[in-house]
Amino acid sequence: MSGSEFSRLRQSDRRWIIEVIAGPNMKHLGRRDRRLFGDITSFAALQEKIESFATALGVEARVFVSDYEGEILERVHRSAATADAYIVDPGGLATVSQGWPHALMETHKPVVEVTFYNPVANGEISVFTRTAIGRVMGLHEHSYTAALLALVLSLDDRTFLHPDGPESETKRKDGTPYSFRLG
Amino acid sequence: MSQQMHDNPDPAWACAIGAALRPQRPGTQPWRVGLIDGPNMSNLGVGGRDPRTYGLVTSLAALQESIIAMGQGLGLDIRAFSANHEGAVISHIYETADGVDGFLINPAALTRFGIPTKIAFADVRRPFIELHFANVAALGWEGGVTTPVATGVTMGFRHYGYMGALFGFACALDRSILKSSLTKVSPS
Repeated sequence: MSGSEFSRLRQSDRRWIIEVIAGPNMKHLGRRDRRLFGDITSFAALQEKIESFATALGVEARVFVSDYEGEILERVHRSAATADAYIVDPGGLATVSQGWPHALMETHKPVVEVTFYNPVANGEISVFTRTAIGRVMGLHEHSYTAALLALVLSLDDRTFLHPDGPESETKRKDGTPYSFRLG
Repeated sequence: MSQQMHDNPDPAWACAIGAALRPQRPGTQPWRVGLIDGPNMSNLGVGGRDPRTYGLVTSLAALQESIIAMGQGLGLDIRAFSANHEGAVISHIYETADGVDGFLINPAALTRFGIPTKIAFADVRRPFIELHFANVAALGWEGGVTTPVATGVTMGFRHYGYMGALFGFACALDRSILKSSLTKVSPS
């Protein structure tokens, strides 16, 4: 594949460590509503796709999935020191979790929210979005790869999300740039 | 970063990125994608758009050329359009819908009140991805008025969200999963 080819084009040579965490119900891909989740056969197939795409981009994706919120919190706590960013699919906790978004905020790392379908079309208000740096939804499993691509390009940019970039650029804990804060 | 020495993003770079990603696509069809930028995006880089939000993109033309170039690298046919008039955006959607396989739109200043734009998308029934440079949900909006009828959304990655969305959209079109996703639509 063109892993090295893509890596040569990147604005950074850092091999970012990206924690990809999927929440309740997601490990049962293949048994879920095909209108929302498409024809993907298993979570293992998704994991393989994420990991191989990350390798092609020259970064490392560490994939974790659990039906237990407590396990997810402990995964976030344990990975906070090593992760450069998080990609989270809240699964069944999207509208109700308190601990998971708080744990993510306490890592002070950029968080991207992904979903297979468009929850807004279903009237679902996610509790993760306001404290995320961004969101990708509606592209089925390709939401994950699109998010990974956009995130890596953003981390590579020293004027944007790059950990060594200027702190004043973005208030990461608020998940939105300064000029969009209304008060 | 050097000031205005060359376009940012650089179309040649974007084209090479697209070419490097091309083997990752599940298919090879040269999908035709309409790219639409809404009101005030013409201020990018030249008209005082805050770089803390919008980054160091030098102009809307540079952004459009880069997305067109990335599309060339990926094997896609991108048609870029922008307008400061909602009427022009609506006319463009109706007039071009039959000739494209989907749209990417940054509704920009149409985000909150662009009901005619929402109705246009509902009418033409083409899959579309809504794009935003910033995470607009952090403002307290769950999205824009077009979000409930959008196939998907990418926001918060500045112009890199356009690039991620273009790649993801191409993959999803390759898999033919989007045409059926946009059936439940009721403009209010």
